[in-house]
Amino acid sequence: MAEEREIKTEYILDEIEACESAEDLKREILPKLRAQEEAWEKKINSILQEKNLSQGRMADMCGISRQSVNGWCKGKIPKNRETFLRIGLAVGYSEQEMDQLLQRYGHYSGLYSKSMDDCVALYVIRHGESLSGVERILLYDEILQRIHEKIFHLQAGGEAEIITTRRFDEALAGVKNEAELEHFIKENIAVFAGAYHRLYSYIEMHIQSNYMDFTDVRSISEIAQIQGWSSSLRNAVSEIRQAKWIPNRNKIISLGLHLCMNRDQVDEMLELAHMEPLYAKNIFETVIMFILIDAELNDVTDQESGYYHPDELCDYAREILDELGLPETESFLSELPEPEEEREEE
Amino acid sequence: MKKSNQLIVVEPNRLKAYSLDDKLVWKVGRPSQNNNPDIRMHAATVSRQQGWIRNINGVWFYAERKGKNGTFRNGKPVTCGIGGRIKPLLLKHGDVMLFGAGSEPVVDPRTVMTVFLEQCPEGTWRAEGTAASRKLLFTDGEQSLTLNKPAVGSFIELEKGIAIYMGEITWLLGDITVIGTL
Repeated sequence: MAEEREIKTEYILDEIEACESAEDLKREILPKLRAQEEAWEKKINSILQEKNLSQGRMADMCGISRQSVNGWCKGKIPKNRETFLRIGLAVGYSEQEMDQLLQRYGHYSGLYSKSMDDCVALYVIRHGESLSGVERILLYDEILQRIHEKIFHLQAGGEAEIITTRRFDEALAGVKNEAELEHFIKENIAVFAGAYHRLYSYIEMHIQSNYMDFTDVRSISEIAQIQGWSSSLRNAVSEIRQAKWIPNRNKIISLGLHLCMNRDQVDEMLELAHMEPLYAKNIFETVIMFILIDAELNDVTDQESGYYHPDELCDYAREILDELGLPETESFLSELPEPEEEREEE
Repeated sequence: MKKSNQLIVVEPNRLKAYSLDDKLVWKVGRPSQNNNPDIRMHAATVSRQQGWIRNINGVWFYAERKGKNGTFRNGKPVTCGIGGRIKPLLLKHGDVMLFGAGSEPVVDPRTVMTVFLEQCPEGTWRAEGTAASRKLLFTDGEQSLTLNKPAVGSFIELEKGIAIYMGEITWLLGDITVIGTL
């Protein structure tokens, strides 16, 4: 039974590329992808049972609604990496168990010490063994809050001195208390800021190459105004330029759509954000892959207008998501700009 | 090794190292009467306005329009994005690019090869004859690497030196030697 269900990712990718319509995708591919959801359903239910936690209790600890946890218990996979982190902290996972949770069930990268959130999570995992789940999460939130207030405004420009992740991990392992942790983070602020430096530059280069003539530079906000960019895109781009945007997976995917990037480019952004590429066994990401592959193969963008409109792919994505009407993709619609006719009415 | 962003351009019997840190934008192309690119590639299969290399916040990218000129990076074709958009490539140390190739990334006298470096040994590039060698031993005195019939256009990096194997000759920089055997 396990062998029957185990479908290779490469096979699914081939199948996605062979789909000629969203209807084909819905009928032929999506039913095959339930294995990941079933695995997650089994996992979260066993976690709740082993730790003797109610859905309500888990919801409170993770800072989400009870309905969301109920959805998990029926196979709905948490939408972002931070939620997986909170689940792991709530139930007192070790570093290895947390990595397994992130990688196997969320298909995210494992704990990465050069990411601020993960750095604090690592500290809490190592020093919070005697704490309850609630106390661990409170500690995590409190430290992050304090750091953002006291330290994060000390933005370091450019790329940090190169230190390998291994040496960084070793240095973090030597931190014994919160005061030392704060000192460590302050001393290495350039490393944290630099963790996403290449991602920011990649996005900026794409914008400058396609939406601005760099021999006659105008401001991004002026371009946004002329081309009628959505407010969500303008906000994301503004934060990127100030290196203030800490990426999460769905935001990266959303930005890729907003900037009309193809699948390779979205995967590259995910890699630069220290995440895994788009995952063909996740229903939402399968749909995104279909949208990106189909848009490129069938040239769904407007070739005649003479200039590139960044919302073209978003409009096409909305069309496909509306057509599929899947619960897994519903919440993502709010990431996309309003349909073109509604924007014109405004 | 010194930290220095360089583009090494290798053409038949000719190598030139461009120190990229001197400016932020470098135009790449084939020189002609009215065209004087910063990075010069003399092959007829390379466009006059092939593309450009650009620095954004210390990160180097290569970009070209259309992506139909037979350009490859690390053996994969350089293509354009959705709707013909430019798809900039984030350059990483050791990236090998090939310009003016057809549909396959084959290094030959009609093509131009480049290697992007973020650091390199001090010194001057020198050429060693390696024609008719089927096996090549590269060594810097501490590390060694043996390659059997390597592909033309191979980039080799040891602790103290780097090499670019071009078949008839191999370009060397730093404390590295190559011994070829039949």
